[in-house]
Amino acid sequence: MNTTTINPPIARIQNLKVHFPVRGGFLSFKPKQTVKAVDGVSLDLAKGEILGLVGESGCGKSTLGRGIMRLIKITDGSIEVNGVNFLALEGKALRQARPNMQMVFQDPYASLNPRMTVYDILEEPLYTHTKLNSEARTAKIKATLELVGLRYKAAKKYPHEFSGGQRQRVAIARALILDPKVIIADEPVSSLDVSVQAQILNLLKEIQTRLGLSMIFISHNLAVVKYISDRIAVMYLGKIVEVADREELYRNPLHPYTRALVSAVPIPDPKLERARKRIVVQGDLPSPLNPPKGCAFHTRCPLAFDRCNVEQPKLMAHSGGLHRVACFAVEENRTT
Amino acid sequence: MEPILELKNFQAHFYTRRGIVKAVDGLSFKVHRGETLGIVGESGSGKSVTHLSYLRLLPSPPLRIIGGEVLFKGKDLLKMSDNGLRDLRGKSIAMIFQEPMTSLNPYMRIGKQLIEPNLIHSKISKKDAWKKAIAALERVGIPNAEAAMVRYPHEFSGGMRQRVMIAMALTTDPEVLIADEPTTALDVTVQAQILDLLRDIQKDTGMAVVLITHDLGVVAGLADRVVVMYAGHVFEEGTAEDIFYKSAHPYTLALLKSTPRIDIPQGSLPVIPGVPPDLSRLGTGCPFYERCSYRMDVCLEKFPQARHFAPGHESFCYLEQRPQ
Amino acid sequence: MSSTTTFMNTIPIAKPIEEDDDSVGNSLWKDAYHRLLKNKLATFGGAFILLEVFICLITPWIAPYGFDTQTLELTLAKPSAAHWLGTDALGRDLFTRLLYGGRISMMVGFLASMVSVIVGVVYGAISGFIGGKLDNFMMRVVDVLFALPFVFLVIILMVYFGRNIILLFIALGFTQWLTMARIVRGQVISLKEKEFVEAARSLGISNWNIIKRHLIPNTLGPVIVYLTLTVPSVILDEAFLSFLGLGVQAPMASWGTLISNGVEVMEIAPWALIFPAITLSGTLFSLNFLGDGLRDALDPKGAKD
Repeated sequence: MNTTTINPPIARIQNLKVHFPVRGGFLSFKPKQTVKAVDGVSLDLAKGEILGLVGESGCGKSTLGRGIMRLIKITDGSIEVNGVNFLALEGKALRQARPNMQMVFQDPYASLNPRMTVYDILEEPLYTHTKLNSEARTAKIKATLELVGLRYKAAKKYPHEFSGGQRQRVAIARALILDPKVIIADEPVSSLDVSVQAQILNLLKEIQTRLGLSMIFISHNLAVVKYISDRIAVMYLGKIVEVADREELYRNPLHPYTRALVSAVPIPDPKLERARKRIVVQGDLPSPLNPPKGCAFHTRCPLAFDRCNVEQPKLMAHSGGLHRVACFAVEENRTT
Repeated sequence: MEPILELKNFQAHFYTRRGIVKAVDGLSFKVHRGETLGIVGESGSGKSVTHLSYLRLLPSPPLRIIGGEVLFKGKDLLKMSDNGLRDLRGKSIAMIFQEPMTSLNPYMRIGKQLIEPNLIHSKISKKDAWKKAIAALERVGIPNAEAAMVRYPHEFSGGMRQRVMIAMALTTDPEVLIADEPTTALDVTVQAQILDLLRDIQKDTGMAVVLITHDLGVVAGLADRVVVMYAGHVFEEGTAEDIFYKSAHPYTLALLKSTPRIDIPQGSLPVIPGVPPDLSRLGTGCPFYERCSYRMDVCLEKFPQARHFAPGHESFCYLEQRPQ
Repeated sequence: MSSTTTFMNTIPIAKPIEEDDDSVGNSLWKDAYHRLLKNKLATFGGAFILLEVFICLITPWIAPYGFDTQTLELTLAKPSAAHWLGTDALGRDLFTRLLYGGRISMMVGFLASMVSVIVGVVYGAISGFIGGKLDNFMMRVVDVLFALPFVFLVIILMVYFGRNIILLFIALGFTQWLTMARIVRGQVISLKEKEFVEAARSLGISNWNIIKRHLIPNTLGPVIVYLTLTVPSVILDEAFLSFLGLGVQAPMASWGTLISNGVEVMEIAPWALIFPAITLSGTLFSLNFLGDGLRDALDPKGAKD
């Protein structure tokens, strides 16, 4: 897959932070606390690449997705999409830049307005952003529906008349209709039945290849992420702890958290599954209100040593390649 | 060996305004002591409704149990009085659910909730019930069990709450544990812990476990025998090896092939076309007909009888040989 | 811009889903309408109201007398062939007065309610959508206004601006918009976080269009229900005011004034009180049944059984 050293990335996110203030209450003496949902994330998305973003609950991946889309307020950092400083835009300018980057949401039942027909849902972005006349709009809607595998007959219907998988296709059509360069898919198959998931995954893959889209695919399901992504980033408590090409990450996970994660994913093969040795992560996820000092993972890490309490590790290339890890144990070759 | 729980041709339908929803239509399986039976199915397969209905946990109407037998140690649960069933339910047959937050009372300290099953079902004192509850908490790996007894559910993380729920199910030393998607709402690292715990507990107590899930990986790790359900019917039943390595039903095979895996490279996932059927509009034939690549005319007319491929391995399909 | 159009003639890349039928979609409104019809009480209520509205509209053509035509020989006459519901103290035909009174009462009821809906929905939607300090302020204004006693307000308005039927509409609508605003604001706040609203924002739809096309249509359910419950409330308020002599002025009639007049002669001519009272009660019942039925029919949770 294209690497960022060869082509300029289509999207560049640098040191992005999304901090939520938590009020102590009117009469409380507690100092104002913040939840550091995303705490200094930097990512490059190459043109035509699918970057998987994986992590468990509380890692901040959904917040990151919404932050990049500017659906929530960014505390710090920069977002550059297709050469445009996305973060500097406001109001009308921001709205006009929206066609560059679109989102597919998790819940196909909640992401479509129940009072609008499929036609209305797909037409709205067209007459907001383009000057196409009515005939041209219809043609575009028809073409986009066909692209996602729905017949034009679907256009007159309402969302509640479709199944979950079909609604997700409509949602994907809506994301595609403005010809975006970047798609952010936030758990797009997690709410779907297993037999339908494969359909939608294949659809996304084919669309991405045909249209040359760049995609950030957010999911907690490592197997799904592995299937669809070219490169994968692992998040923990608001930070990225490892980034690698797909095969590399699963064959040679370096960060202790990634290793635990990969060993925990069940494999549908009884002999293999029962023979596996699991790397168990002790304890619970620390409260995001009070993250550990130093490395965020050190309280649960089997390889933690004194440096981990004190400093925060940075993402660094491992053995000069494209595989990057944020871990002192790996850096100092202290892996047992 | 006698099965501890056996369903014979169980049928449960919902009578709704839109028609009769045939949620479970002729389900049969057996579970033995010390065995884990995995029930695999997607939403609408009837895997959860089955157990909720014979335990009388669903409002009836609109639910109606049409026929069949549910034998627990030889006694038919469907013919029992409400009181008789209530005695069994929660004591000998315990159930744990997907969302621990909604299964635990958020307004009650967990200690109070944990002693409840024993106070209702066994004739032991409150002090003894308290002791048993603490022992159960320790068994499931809750640190500082005694201090934990006075805490509220929301003070625990998702994984911990699920452990509390397992403890609550275990305090009465049940003989059958029905676990309905117990780890679906949990993170994958927590899921691994909970599944290991269930495996441990089963080894210690020898109780039978019915594990209901849509996740094939979970089933592969825990189940001795597997039943594959679809639209209220059983499609295939066998040992874990039978189901995973020698699948005899096109649906099972398709499900296995279309599931992403982290251990092997998958170029392109073969897809099951179409959508799961509307349970209020099922015909007399096989409900998988529309989506099956091996379908034949006879499949549409009548639901197939069981075809035996090996001792204990049956498939409900007209195919003579295992599909590739 | 044209990357998808180049695929217009190519083979679809995913297996197309077969749609069951070619019909036009069933909107949620259609679903709700059908469910409403199944509710006998609500349908009866709705039919009754429609009948009343129709009669009120054709009143000028069907009323046997003028509403202030006095037949002084026949004051407080019992119901007869000439006067179906009898006459009042001034010899005016009660049936005619009931018809004309209905026109006034229903007009006041519906118009005042429309005022309350329009003001309440816009106010509530803006407050809920913008949120923050503005929302806080706007809701505190509502709280303060809520605390004002209704009757005193009307009296003050009447004293200042004279007795005017338009003023009556405004005064009555004014008290109802407050609750409507609160309801709409609550709805908007919960809708704001829904994914289809997030999707609209990510598509670059302007705030005003989001409110107009996404938020308000999805709040209409509770709004309609509340509207059908507001109308009887307003009619009753008007009846109350007229009863006190503050509302509609003689010789015009409304059900309230008729009831007020009827009370005065109730011992010698009970029919003068009974007929307007029954009509008013019947209307209120019907509107309430309809409102209840609408609430059940529009409840999305019941939609798919």
